[in-house]
Amino acid sequence: MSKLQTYECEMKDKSLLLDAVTRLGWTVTASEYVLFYSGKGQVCDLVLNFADNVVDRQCRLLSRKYNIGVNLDSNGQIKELLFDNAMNGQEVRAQTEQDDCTKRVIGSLKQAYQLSAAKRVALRKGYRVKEIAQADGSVQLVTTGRW
Amino acid sequence: MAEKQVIIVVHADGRVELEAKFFQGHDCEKVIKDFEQALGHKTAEQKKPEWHQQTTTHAKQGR
Repeated sequence: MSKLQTYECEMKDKSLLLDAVTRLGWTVTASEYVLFYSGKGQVCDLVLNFADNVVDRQCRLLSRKYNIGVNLDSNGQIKELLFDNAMNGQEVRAQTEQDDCTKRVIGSLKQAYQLSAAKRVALRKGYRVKEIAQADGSVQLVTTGRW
Repeated sequence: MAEKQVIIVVHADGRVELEAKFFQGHDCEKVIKDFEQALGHKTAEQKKPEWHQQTTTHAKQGR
């Protein structure tokens, strides 16, 4: 049998998000302001601070200029993420759009989150996992076990 | 016989592709289910030719 399935990332689990942040070398602070282009935004339950070495190809992303705010729901899980949708400082047409820089930053967070999620399942089930970084920026997990 | 594997590719934008390889018939369903809940919203599913072959074989045997 072979079956191929595709999933979109839904970040809901706070502990997986924190694992992802650690994997990226970012830090987390509690009850801080989320930073937008125009300055401080609202206070969020958690703020994800980029590592100082996060420099985007286009925008020279400054860790002092932007971060990602996280608000939690009553169960302590992720309710919403808040971030500037134009981290390269250029205009984007709609509020729901993101510029390339923002897409890459948020993409790296989603990727780290999904890797943590998949590895956690494998660990719980006793599967073995081999992680292989690919040239296109994707990461392959080869999972084997007693099935 | 090749070792059963689940290959998970996590793309740079967070999209995930999951492929169960070398499983017999529907054996992969349970394994995939283990990962499904943790990986978010399923957007696509593609059964490869081997899946259909196995299903057909099982159906014929059951007659």
